[in-house]
Formats: sequence, C-alpha cells, structure tokens
Amino acid sequence: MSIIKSMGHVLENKRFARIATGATATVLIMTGIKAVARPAFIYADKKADAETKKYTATKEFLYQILCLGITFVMLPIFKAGGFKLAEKYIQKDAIAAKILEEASTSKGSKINAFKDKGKSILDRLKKAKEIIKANDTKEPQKTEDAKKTAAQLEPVANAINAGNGGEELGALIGSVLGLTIIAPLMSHHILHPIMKALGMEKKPSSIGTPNEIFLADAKVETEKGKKVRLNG
Amino acid sequence: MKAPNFEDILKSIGENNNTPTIAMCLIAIFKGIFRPMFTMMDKKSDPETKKYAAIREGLTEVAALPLYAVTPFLAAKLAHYLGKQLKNEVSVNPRRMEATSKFIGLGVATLLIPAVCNIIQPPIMAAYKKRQESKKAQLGNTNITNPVTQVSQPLQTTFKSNFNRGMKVGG
Repeated sequence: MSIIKSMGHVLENKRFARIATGATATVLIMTGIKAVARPAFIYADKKADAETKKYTATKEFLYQILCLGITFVMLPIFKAGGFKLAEKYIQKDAIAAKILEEASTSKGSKINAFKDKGKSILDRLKKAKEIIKANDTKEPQKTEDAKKTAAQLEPVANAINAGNGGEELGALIGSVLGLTIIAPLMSHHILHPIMKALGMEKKPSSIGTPNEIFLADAKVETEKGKKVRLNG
Repeated sequence: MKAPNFEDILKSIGENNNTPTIAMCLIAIFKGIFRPMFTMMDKKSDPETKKYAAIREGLTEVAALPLYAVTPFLAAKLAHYLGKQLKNEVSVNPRRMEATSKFIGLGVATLLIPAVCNIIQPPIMAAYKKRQESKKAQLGNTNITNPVTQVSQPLQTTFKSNFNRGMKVGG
C-alpha cells in the first residue's frame, strides 16, 4: 500500500501536473527521452556489429539533439505568436483584459503570468460548477450562489481559455513544423560535417542495400581500370 | 449547427487537457507524411534505396501513432483506479493525477516505439525485399546484360541481418 501511496503522491504533485499539461514541456522531454533511449536500444541490439551500432547510435543521438535545439528555439517564438493572435479575444472581456495588462507589466514571461493569474478564475468557476452539479438540496442557497458565480465567471473563463489556447496552438504548430519539416531538412547539412569531424563520415560496409554496396565497389573497380565484377 | 470560428477553436484547445497527446500524435502523423516525401525527393540516392527507406520511415510512424494515441489513456485509467484506492488515505486531485499519468503514458509510448518497430518492421521489409527480388529475378531472366540485377542477389545474404532491423535512424 505504501508503494501505491508514493505513486499517488508523485501523480498528485502540482509541479508535475503543471509540466504535464503543456505541449511545450512534453515535446521537449519526449525528444530528450528519444535522444537517450534510441541510441541505448541500438546498442542493445546483439545481432548488429559494433561498428554499425556505433555509427547508427551516434547519428541518432545527434539527430535528436538537433531536434531538441530546433524545438528550444522555435517553440517560444510560435507560442508568443499564438498568444498574440489570441489577445484580441482576451480583450473582449474586461476582467480578462485587466489580467492581461497586469501580466504584461509583470517581471517574468507575460504568458506564464497571464496563465497563473487566470488559473484562480478557472479554479473558482470549476468549484462553482461542481457545487451546481452536486445540487445539495440541504443547502439550496449554496447552489444558487454557485450559479451566480458561474454566470459571472463564464465569459472571463472563455477569454482566459482563448489566451491559453492561443499559446498551445502556437506550441503545436511550432513543434510540428520544427520536428517534421525543419529538422529533417537541416539534418542533411548539419549531421554530415559533424559525423566527418568525429571520424565517422562513411557508413560501415555492413550498412546499405546491395545496390549501394555494388555501386560503391563497382566505382572502385572501374577507377582501378578493371572490369566491373559480376559475382561477389 | 454553427461552424466553429477561430475563437471557439482557441477556447477548446485552452480547455483541453490532452494537448500533449495531440501534439505527439500530430508530430507522428506529419512525420509519416513528410519524412518519406523528403526521402523520395533525394536526388543523390538510387530509386530502390529511396523507396526502401521511405517505407521504413512510414512504418515507424505507423507504429508510433497508435502508441501515442492509446498509451496515455490507458495510463489515465490506471491512475483513476489508483485514485480510488487512495481516496481514503490521501487527498486526491483527479485532474492532476490524470494529467501526470497521461504524460507518463506518453513517455512509456516513446520508449516502446523502437521495440514495436523491431517487431513489425522485419517481416514487412522482408516481404517487400522478397517481392523486389522476385521482380529482379524476372527482369534478370529477360535482361541478361544488366549487371546490377545479377549481382544484387549474391550480396543480399551478407546484409540480411542488418536489413530489416528496427526503426529508421533519425525518426
């Protein structure tokens, strides 16, 4: 039971939950896990030879580090852009607009300050909705008060959710663009010089399709002025 | 029914606790589209190599997408069960537990993808290779002067063990 309790404490942790609900942290952490786990899986392969494993694992590690770098750079830009797009919807509600103004003048990140200040309103609305749902007949006044609170906070919550949604949409677009288009395109130009600097420019001979090896061997043979080998 | 406008879309994204799962699924979908596409656009490699690499890349994301979609929800179910066990002993915030457990589920999915690729890719790539070999054999019988077709068969056994293993590097 104590193990279950410890697991429960971990799952209940406020900080973990905060990290876990954002797309940004998820993408960064999953890329970090890939950077460690995938080379480890490659090295765990008992069938491949050491040279192949070294080449493949190094290339995979470098690729994931490149993805991490691209994500670190792109996500804040796209998040800020997404939040900017959502600002006009935040401004529609007076209370949400005031929260935005306070967040703009705060010391740290405007987006984080807005989320922190907006969270209290979202929590109050959530509590009010729970009381309405419970509909305790012993305390009808409590339910009535909760209904009034919910009616007041609903438009504010909509505006705050629009702001949060703008940030998350920016993060989604930034991570998809970065990891699916920019990283593969950049890897061709970046990984090759790095592999060359590490002295692992050429793929080990055990990697490659038969055609690749045949053509490589054929090139060597014709350069030496010999006829192309036809069998092995 | 009114079509959702941009404001409604932003609101629903803001309220949604599943944006991490959605992000990983979207990345898997677009990787499954763009990576094979980029591979086929590579002018330096020969067509057979490109086709082979593109299929492997596609298969990696075919393995990734259901894992990213399903594992977080299974983890949340497990956390829900855990929450019920702990209800009397610890104050439980179900929303927090759900969010953290889905995140852990995504981590588990990330670790499982290479293992699943190691299981599903070898038979599929072996079947593809067999198909290509039979095509080449047919071409070889009708076109004796083509050296590429003739040589590829003796060399293949050397690379059999490395050919079909695991997901594409850089996925």
